Amino acid sequence: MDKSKLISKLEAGFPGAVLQVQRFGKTETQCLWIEGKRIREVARGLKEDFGFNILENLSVMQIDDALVLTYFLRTSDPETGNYGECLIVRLSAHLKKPNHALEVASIVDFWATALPFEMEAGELFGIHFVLEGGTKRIVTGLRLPVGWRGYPLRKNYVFPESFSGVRHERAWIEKAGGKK
Amino acid sequence: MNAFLWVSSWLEGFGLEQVESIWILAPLGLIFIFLFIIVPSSMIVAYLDRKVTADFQARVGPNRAGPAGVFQSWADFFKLLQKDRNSEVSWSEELWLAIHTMALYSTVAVLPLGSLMLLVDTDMSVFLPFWAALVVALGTMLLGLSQKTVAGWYGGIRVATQAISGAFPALVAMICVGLRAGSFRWSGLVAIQGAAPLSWTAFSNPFQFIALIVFLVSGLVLLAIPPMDAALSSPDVSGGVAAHLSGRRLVLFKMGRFYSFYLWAVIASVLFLGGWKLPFEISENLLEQGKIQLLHFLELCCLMTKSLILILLVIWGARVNPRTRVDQITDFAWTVLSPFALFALIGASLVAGWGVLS
Amino acid sequence: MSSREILKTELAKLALGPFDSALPGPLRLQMELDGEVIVSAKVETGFIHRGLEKAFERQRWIASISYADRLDPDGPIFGELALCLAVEEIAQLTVPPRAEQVRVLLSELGRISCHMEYLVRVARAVGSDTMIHYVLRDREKILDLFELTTGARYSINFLRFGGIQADITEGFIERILELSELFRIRVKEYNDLFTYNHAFIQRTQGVGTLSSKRVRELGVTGPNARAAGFSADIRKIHPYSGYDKIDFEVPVADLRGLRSGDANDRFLLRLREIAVSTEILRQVAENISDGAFCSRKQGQEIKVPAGEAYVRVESARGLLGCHVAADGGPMPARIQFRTPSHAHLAAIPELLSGTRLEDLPVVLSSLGLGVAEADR
Repeated sequence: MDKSKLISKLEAGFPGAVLQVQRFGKTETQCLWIEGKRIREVARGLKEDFGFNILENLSVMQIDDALVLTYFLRTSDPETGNYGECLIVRLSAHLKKPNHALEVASIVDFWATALPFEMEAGELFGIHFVLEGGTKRIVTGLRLPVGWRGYPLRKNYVFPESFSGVRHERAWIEKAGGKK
Repeated sequence: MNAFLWVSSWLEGFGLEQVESIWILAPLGLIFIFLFIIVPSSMIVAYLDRKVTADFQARVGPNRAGPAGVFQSWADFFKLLQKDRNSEVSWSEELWLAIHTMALYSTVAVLPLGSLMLLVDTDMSVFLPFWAALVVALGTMLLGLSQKTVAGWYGGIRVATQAISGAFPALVAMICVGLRAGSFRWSGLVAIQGAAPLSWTAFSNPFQFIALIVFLVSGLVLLAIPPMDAALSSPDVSGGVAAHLSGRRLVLFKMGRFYSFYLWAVIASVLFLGGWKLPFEISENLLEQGKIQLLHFLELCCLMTKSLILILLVIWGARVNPRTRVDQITDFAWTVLSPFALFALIGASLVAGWGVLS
Repeated sequence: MSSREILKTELAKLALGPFDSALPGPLRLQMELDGEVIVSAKVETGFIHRGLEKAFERQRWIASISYADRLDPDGPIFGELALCLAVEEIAQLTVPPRAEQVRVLLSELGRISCHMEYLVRVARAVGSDTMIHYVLRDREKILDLFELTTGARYSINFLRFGGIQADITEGFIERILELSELFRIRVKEYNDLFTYNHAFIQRTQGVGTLSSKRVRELGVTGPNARAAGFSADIRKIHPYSGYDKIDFEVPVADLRGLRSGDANDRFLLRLREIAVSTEILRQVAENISDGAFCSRKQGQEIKVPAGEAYVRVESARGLLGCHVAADGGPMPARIQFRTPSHAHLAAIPELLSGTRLEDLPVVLSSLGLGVAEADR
């Protein structure tokens, strides 16, 4: 489908949600920046009206002091399973308190494949994904041992000096001024 | 009591006075058979199993202990005997293991190893191993249940279901043979067979051949011998009952497994494949000349050769094929083996009755 | 109506793992069993979480290749390839044709090696020892080839940004051609040994069925999806590294609504994939071009400008995606891998509920899980 038509339909359907349109990488895939609070409506629209029924990847990264969530969406042919269009949707959530968890709406209702990504990113980046009814999903013990403090994948993360009686050598090296 | 004559004659050969008490001769006989026939056979079969399997799998097999690895079984045996127990004594486990062992080795008394080496030669001789196999299955099941682990529970129940499903066709096949021979004594069963293959029970009429096949397969099912060993080697419960045995108890259990395999092969050879019958009237000549020990030895060799060939055939089938699931085995035993066994029984009785009537 | 209503019984609880011979990797299964049938299963992973994604950010760009090839220890080439393609996209590096072809050769060798490991796992689950040794003996030849060219059997660490680390050794191409001849015979042997073996068919047919509907919903990709009838293969949809110039057919299960995606189908599909990979090896080896093996000098520090890229690679297990973000510095800003094993892990609870306990190893091994790549 023609991307500009898609964009214009989206902007018509969800006024104000689409903040910016960009090109992503060499393949020049369409990439939309949307407003964080409107992700659920946009997700529903993209899935039901535009047929993006596969969420291929949900990648989270930190740029300066904001967490950027990138959703890679595909359409697929129901008979052969072949992939069709690709669309990248991004939202950015500002980290007001650098060591506290962030809240972002969850999209597992639309794409069940989002669950493992949300759980992993939730634990490692400190994102509490909010489900439909308002319940927050707080993940512990998935990748990190139970009782681990901090969100390792954030840029300001400092390794603890010891955990459960085991010394963390890198933290000691850094403290002594050695190589980071 | 020709059974004890040979024991006392062996003992006299050592310069002891003539010993007549059955209470001494019987245990000596059992120990003799166990130590000098069963244990060496297990060594040889274990070695051949490993070498032949390795050959199938494009590997070398044991080749370090002794020339071409022939002492590997001895090395394993002595190593395992030295292993200490690593957990507390569990009296229920010990009890069931003892019962399992006793049931199994009680069959040594009825093992048909030669025309003169029959310790107990009565009409119930053929059935004792069969009941012993069922008691062994019961013992293994209770051993598993007493281990209080999931592996033990599942392993134990699976062994019991498999044994029950394999028991019925095996029993019916054994009855077919007895019908033809007219008695269930070992001497009677072998007497009607000759040395030549065509005079064996298996090839005397098609129903007996079906009975042979049924007996062979249902014996594997009854005793949980590979390839029908799903109850004892399934990876999902780490091997079932044997998962929590170690050291000397594991050796006892494994010897028991080997012995039941061996027992099955020996009984199949005696029932269906001519037993210890020697060709060219050797047995009559040797009896006349009084060379009894040589006769024993030759008959034993004949029987052992046939059993060994059967064992190797089964090992071959086991290594090449995947393992079927326990419920598939029991389905197979109930829905395929049992009807064939009954069909063979009806046919065999018709043939036997025809012979009597005409 | 279950037997619980007639005879008062309880469900047994069984926890398998994290280390168990029935499992494909460190994961814990908490199961409830009703007799021999599994009623429910819960999967716990994270036992082999190595913090790869954080490690990327703490080392320089050139070291990230070593980490990427440890993403999935059974198929190291795929992680490296995904990373290299992504960084080459950001830094606008071209890869010389010879290097592209060698990358394809190594990828297909890696794919065959990974599928052979899969065959071994299924054979172990089903209880056939002979197949294990035959397959491993042949896999040694592939590992020998890896060692010949890259110096290592498993973690090859051979790709570099812009090409490969060194030119291929003399004799590599000849041995690849010999190998493709050999594998054509071997695949036929494995077929004869297993495909028509009644016991094997009984153990795997109807076990662990993933319908095409569930495949779509769970996001299962790769050979598991193709065994359920979905023909998506990244080598055809988004060709990379010269795959569009190679003539090959992607094997897809032809189901016609009869069965869908049981363990037997997945096994057979991987046998066919080995055959297809052998064909690709032959084609590329016969037409290998001369020239440079890397567009950058070795040992040179790479300057990656600010930018982002997301590439997809068809790994032996499925769709492997790599999202790389660079901020112009000496270390990556973020490298995220989208691994196919997540979807397979998500399929386990529903595949296991209702199956017999004895089929558990068969179901798990037939999925071809890579626990290390799921945990990263």
